[in-house]
Amino acid sequence: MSLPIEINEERQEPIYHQIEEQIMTLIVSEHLLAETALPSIRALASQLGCSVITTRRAYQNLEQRGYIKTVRGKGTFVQQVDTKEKSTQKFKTVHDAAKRAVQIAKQHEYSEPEVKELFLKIIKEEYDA
Amino acid sequence: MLKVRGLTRRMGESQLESINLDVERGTVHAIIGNNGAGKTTLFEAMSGDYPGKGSITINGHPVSSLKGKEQFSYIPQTITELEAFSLRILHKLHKTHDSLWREDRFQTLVKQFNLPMNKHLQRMSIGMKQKSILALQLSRDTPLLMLDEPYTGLDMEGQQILDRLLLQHMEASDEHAIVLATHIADEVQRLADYISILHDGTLSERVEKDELQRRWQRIWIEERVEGISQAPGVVSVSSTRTQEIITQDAEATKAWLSERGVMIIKSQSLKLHESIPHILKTGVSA
Repeated sequence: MSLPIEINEERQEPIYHQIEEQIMTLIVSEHLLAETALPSIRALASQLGCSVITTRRAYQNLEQRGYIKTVRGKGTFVQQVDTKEKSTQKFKTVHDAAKRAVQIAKQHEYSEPEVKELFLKIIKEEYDA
Repeated sequence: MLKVRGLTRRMGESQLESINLDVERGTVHAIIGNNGAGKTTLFEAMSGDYPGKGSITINGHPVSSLKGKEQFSYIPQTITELEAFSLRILHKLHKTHDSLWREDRFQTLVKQFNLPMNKHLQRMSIGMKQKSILALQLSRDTPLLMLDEPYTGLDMEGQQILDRLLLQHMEASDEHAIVLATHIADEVQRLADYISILHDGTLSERVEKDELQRRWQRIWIEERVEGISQAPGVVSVSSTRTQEIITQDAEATKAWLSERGVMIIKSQSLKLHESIPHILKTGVSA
């Protein structure tokens, strides 16, 4: 099994963090359900072209945060995450994506009204469809 | 798991100069070097074939001891001494004399690689010969694999099968490890955790693969900056409308740029197929 995640070479955050966040998103959005077996750190490393040092660190952090659990000799599995935690994380994911979009607009010297107008246009396009 | 200390060999064309190497269990370690850098000499020595000065141990056993030989399987680059035999005869030898032999594994590999049992190895194509050696060596149940350019001559299907076999070897136990010689960046990208560079017979300290990708970056800046080619980490600068910088120490270069108030348009990690040639060319310590 491979996971629908990828490493972005242009992002400055460390690779283990990118992996961690993407798996977390898959779990809180319920694309990965509780009890689902995750690929081994070795299989994930070879899928992404990174080292097992990196994938192990991502898994360790996710385990500490209670999203996954490693059972020795059996593998790594998705944990049950409570609803409150899920909605907090969903909010954070959406919030961060919107914030990044605004930062890019700022870099390109968009004014506040211009950004607002653009957002409203996109919202209309997406929700009317 | 594999410990090489002060390995020195001064014979023939390629020399090795006090090589130290540690391959830990649970890791894949790639030895990268250009043709003629001494990779094969190093692997021959590590497999106990041509002992030089220094010590080589695997899990504490000297590599040429009986216990040592049980710790590893070796895929050499040339196999002249086996070429006069067919797979049928080599199979029989292993089956009767090799205590680590796994018959079920061998039968699976013969089927996967579609290997002719009666043909002499010298009459096989390079790829078929390589598949035969892989089938023989990977059917031995050992914790360490030493692979000298293991993908040589393999077709795409063969490459995929070998990828899977190496993955299985590493997943089978935390005690397993692989050390492989290669000059192909893509193999390193797919397989390795640690990298050491062999250059003129000396081996660099190992570096973690992802650390290499964190440090080696391409940075684009808008303006020309005085002295940029001497800035810390900078390996090359080229300019079109924007300036493109290759650095081997992104953090230092970016700090230098920000001290001078230079705007970075974009930066991106180099893939290994871009950074490794730089490293090999300049002999820069990784």
